[in-house]
Amino acid sequence: MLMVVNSSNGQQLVSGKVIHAETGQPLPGVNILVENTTIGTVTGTDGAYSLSLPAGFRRLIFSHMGMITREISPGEDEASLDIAMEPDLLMMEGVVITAIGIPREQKALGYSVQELPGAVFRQVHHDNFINSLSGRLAGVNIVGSSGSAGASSYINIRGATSIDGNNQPLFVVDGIPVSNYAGYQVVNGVDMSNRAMDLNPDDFAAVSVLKGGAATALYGLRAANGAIVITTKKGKHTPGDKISASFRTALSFERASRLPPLQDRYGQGIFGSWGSGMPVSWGPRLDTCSYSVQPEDWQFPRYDADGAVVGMNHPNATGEPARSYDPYEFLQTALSQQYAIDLSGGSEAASFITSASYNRSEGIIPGNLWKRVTFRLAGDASLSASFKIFGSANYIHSGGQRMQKGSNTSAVMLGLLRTPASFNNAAGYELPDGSQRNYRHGSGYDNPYWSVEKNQFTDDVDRLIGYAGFNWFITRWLTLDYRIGIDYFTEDWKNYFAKGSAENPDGSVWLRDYQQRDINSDLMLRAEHKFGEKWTTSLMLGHHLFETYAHELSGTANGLALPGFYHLVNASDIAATEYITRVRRAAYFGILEADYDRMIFLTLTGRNEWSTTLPANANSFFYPSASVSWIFTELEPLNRLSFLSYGKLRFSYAQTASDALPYLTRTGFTSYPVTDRYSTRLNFPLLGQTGFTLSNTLGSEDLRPEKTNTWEIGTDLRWFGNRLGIDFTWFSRKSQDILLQVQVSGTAGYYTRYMNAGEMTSEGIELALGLKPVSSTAWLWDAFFSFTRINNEVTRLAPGIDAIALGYVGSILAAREGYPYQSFFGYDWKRDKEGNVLIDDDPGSPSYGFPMGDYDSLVYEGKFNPDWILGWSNSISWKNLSFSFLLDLKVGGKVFNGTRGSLYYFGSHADQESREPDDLVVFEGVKQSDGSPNDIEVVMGANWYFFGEGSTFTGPDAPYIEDAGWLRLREITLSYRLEREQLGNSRIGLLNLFITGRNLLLFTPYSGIDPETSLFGSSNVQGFDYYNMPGTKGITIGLEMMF
Amino acid sequence: MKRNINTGNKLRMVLVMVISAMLFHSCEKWIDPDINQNPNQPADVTMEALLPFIEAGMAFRLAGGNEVVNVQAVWLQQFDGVDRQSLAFANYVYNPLEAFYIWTDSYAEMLMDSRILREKAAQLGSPHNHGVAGILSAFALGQLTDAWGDIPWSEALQGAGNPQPVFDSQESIYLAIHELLDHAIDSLAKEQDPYGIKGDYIYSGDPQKWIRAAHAFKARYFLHLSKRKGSQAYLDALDAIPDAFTDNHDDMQFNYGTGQGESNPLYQFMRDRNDVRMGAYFIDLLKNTEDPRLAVYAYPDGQGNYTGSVAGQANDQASTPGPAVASPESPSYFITYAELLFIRAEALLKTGGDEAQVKIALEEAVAASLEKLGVNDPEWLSGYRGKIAGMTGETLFAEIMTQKYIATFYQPETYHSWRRTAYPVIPPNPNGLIGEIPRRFLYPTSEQVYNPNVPTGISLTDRVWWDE
Repeated sequence: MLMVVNSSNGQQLVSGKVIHAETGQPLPGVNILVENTTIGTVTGTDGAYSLSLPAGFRRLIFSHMGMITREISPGEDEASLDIAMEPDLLMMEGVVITAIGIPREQKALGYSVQELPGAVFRQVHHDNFINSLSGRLAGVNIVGSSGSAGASSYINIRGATSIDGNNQPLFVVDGIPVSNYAGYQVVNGVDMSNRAMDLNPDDFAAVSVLKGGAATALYGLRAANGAIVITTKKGKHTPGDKISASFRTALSFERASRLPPLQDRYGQGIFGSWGSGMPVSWGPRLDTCSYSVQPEDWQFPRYDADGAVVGMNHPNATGEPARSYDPYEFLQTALSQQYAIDLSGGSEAASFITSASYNRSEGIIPGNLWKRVTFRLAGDASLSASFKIFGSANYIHSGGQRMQKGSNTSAVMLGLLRTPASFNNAAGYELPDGSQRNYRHGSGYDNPYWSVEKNQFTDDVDRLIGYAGFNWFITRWLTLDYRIGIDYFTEDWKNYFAKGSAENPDGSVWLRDYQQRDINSDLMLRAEHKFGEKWTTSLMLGHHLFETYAHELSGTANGLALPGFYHLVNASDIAATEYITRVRRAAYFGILEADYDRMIFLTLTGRNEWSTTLPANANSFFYPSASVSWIFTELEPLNRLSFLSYGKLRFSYAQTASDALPYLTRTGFTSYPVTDRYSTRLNFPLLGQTGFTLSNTLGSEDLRPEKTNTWEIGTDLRWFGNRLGIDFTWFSRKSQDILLQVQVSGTAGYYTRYMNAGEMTSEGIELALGLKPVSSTAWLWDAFFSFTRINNEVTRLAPGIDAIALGYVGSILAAREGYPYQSFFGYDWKRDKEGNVLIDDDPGSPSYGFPMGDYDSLVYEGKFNPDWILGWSNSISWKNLSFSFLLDLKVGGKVFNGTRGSLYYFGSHADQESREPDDLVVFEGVKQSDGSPNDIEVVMGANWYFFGEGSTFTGPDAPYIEDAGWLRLREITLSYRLEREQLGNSRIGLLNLFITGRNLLLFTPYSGIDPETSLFGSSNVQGFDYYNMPGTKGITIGLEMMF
Repeated sequence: MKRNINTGNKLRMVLVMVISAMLFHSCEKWIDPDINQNPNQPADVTMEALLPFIEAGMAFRLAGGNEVVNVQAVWLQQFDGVDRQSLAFANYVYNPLEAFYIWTDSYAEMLMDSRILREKAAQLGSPHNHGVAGILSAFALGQLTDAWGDIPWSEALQGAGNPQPVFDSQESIYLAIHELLDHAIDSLAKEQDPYGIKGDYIYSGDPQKWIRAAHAFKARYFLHLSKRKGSQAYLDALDAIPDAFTDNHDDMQFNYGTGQGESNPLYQFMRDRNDVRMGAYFIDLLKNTEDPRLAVYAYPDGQGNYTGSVAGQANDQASTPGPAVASPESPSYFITYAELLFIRAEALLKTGGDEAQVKIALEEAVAASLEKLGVNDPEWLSGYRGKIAGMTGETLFAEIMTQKYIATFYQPETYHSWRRTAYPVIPPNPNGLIGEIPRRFLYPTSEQVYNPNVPTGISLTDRVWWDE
């Protein structure tokens, strides 16, 4: 292998063994590093190590995930050094990876960082590793958008900083930011991915979550919403230069966890009569019906497979009772497989790791599939004791087949749920002439069997993430680090609709090729100096360059000539678009750290950034941060408190900034189709002419960077030896000059105006509590609580604008002054001053006895974000057996159940089973005329739901804003683990068998599917459920081996 | 202590400084302001690039289309909505959210682009383009005010300078329309235009036809004030007619193509959504008079008959709109020669004209409509002549308006004529949310949110100024 440490005089060989302080077991995989050098090693499976200590270097750092890091300086003559390491309950003292990949001791940090071990991501099957963070982090809210295979997840750290821009954190792998691009997070279409899910969680060694401004200040503006910092597994030098290997496989079975309840008592039709082809289920009671197969009744045998539905007493009735069909038989049990393998090894001078993984996930919607294949090679080499180079290359191929969803006439759930119970979608979706068989005679909505078979959306991603760099320990007090990374991917989509599909009856093809290339370069010079015995200071100066370039080509072809041939040439109407984005940034930054006696730690940071998206006169901006950490238990006499073993107070202030969207410093012209409210359109070029229109967004030459100021106070406390740990944080955050596309009245000549306008505050508490109720050599019980409570308020929008719509489907999700970000607004019932619903008591009125919609003003209907979240994870182990579970309690937060609201119109919802003349109900409310309590008995039938205001199609939306809190058993795992000794010292170092359940229990007042859902994916438009693909529950069986 | 790793330190320091300097130097070049020049959008465009978008937008969404004309046709029972929003319209439910797109695009696209075209034409010295943009603006303003009443104009389209324009009274909007049209007529009368009207789908750049269209609009918008101004409105309209269209070939219409993305909006709407059917009232009217236009106004239903859906009954087995309005190439009509002839017949009658002359005018109008639709039928026409021979006074007036209702099928003017004259007498949908046919559109929700000047408390039964 490569040359090793120079073997001049004074070199000292140190060897020994590392054990677990509580169990006494040897600790394999402990990193041992000579401070300020590249020299290091790792303990073997027996906990043993040996290392050459170069002359002049004394200090050894022992670190291991989940253990308290120890720093030890062996004596000059000491050749043998055995140490015991204590587990770190809340990761309070270990080394964590902070901004720009800098490992820092947790105790030195003046802000909150939470770190999760890589194992967390490997026991439960998620396509998207973000979902594994749910319930484990304080201050973080995660929404898996859908149960579809390959669906995106929304992650929110400490509320939002932006109103209509990005609120997702920065994802960083080994110090290199990687793209979490998420295109096509839309109301219709398909459930699309966010690109962070390309990462292979089997490559993760640890994930730390940087929440506050002080934590992320050094990443600059892209981390304004926090950062998810991933450290990958590295190759290690083990005694004997052995190659280690690990292998993991898992198999998962998933089903829909909850489904909207439907009625199967009434059939297709209106006014209580059966009607073939009718859109709604206001037909006859099926238990009073039979079939007729006589041609005079059975007019549409192509559609009505069983015959015409007629009354039992109809002369042509066959006597066979009319059937109802369960639409949910359409859904399938989804099977997913995961395989991951890695090989690693190293000598004293060089190491490597290589890994491969394969993930194939089915969705519960037949045909839905998502695959990911990854390969990775990473390594480093010490060219001398002072110079190390490293690099990594990670290739990913991902993508799948996705099914139409949401507000879309080809959407699977929409067609499925609207189909009357009397119609059997499964009896064939295609007629002999190639046209579609569905309950509306070919129009309306796709038969879901047709849609999944005939309408395909495939996405294909090829991605390369690579980096290279060096660490140069120039002198004992000066190091220079450099790292350059590239993240390049192509994301190609092909979406086609067969002729005869509801959404595109003439057939269509949409091709979209997207490529993005992000380049990051970081140069960091770090100097360290000790003043006397007590003071240690270090100063780092850095330089950063960033460029992102994206190019999107899209072609749409409508009206296919040949059926079944999905190609751009096969159309009469082809439109192509192109979009290019290029943004560059540059920055200088500095960190000054000082600690006094390893008791008080002070960190100052500053960053000056330049961005091309801002006007030339305002494109440079500076933002600072300061943080203090005080380990007060180091102080006499607190260090003698027996019950308080560790105590830290921390305080930080930070400013972060964000730049503008590109190309909005002025207003140009654009060409796009003339499109109406129903998406009918005229494409340009039209009839041989190009056509341009002024851009709908008014740019500005007065843009400034937006700024967020964060204050954070917290404490880390550890009690009773190591049995109880508390990490408490209070933060307050204010974002100002928020750049946003202010919607203006179209009468001003634009849709939106881009400007610095918004102001938003968030304030919250985060509490992490670790508990070790039982700890013996056989029994271990760890419990961990994470609590989050965030209050957010939009305090200012643009002058004259008090609300900005983020998105709508029936109800509007908006940012509105004086309300929390992401609040719902819409129409409610007419109410009196006390808030009682007014009931129409005019006997001549068609709505007699019913409430009446109030369409005069939009009212606040609640917020999307929860009041608070509590995660409780437990891990109990007894010898080789361990059992863990994660309970997730979410209180508050609303979701708009547009599925229910519109199913009411169709009459297919379970709430509509009572509609006979004697099914009388009285609406709660007061009579409009005199305010007396309502006592008018009404039947809630088609008169109300279909002709009246009893659905979202015909009435207000407020009744469908539902409480979406929950208590769920998010994860439960049983695993059996055997170590090398127990395996009779075979070649296998570790064997772990596990079985995991996900979402096996879910209690929620929400009346539809699992309320952890998002029609608009990982975009800011959260909280909508309109025929969303249902969430899932599942079981994973897995096997993990190490060699 | 020995410092054996420190050998060559100075050299290393120099290297560090060189690397740093190189990176730091590149920073200046890296942040090149030109990077923020939008590669996807031209900073400026020519006049001939603007006109096609304006014409297509107005034709597709104001002259024809599904957001205004379709709603009005459902309300007046030329159509019946059988599903979704159209069904709601049939039941007189108009969710103000529905208005967002057409309202916003009318200003932010059609009127804004027209304004830019006018400004550009003024700047470059192109009177003809200036005139065309003025006429198109006048048409859009007319459509908007007739649907919504008071609307912004005097302070509209000023961007950041005035994000909340005031709502001008309908009376002043009408003055603005005539001012735009008068100005356009003057501009288009100029003999020289170094640029010419390019990108003109409607009249292929013929300034004379545009002048006639401007006069035709003047006649229409004078007539609209009949309730307010009485005979003066009719006299003004009669004055404008001689300079307007001389035959069907002058019609201001937009011809669509056959391709999917270049076809008629109602065709696309029926293809994609299929939410309206022929109204029973309208179909019966045509059937009762054996009107030859029936065959082009409607397609036969599944049984081969012409049937309509009774308002609010959502009978989706009824006939769908026919080839005259719902084939890929069915044109959208801004204003037609036939409409002018109906204006003349009505105005003649209302200004005390000789009823024989009025009947001739009416017959000409009906004949023009038949001819336009390619269903010329001299026999039927002579029968029609006989039918109206005995009509006088109010009966004749009702006949004129009923025939205009038929001739302007699925055109904007239908609804306005009915509101002005109450003819034909159409029984409202008894299951409707309100007890009468709506008299106006509601302002979009967005306007309520973003512009405090928007009139509040408006309901579908309120009347616009000229309808009061």
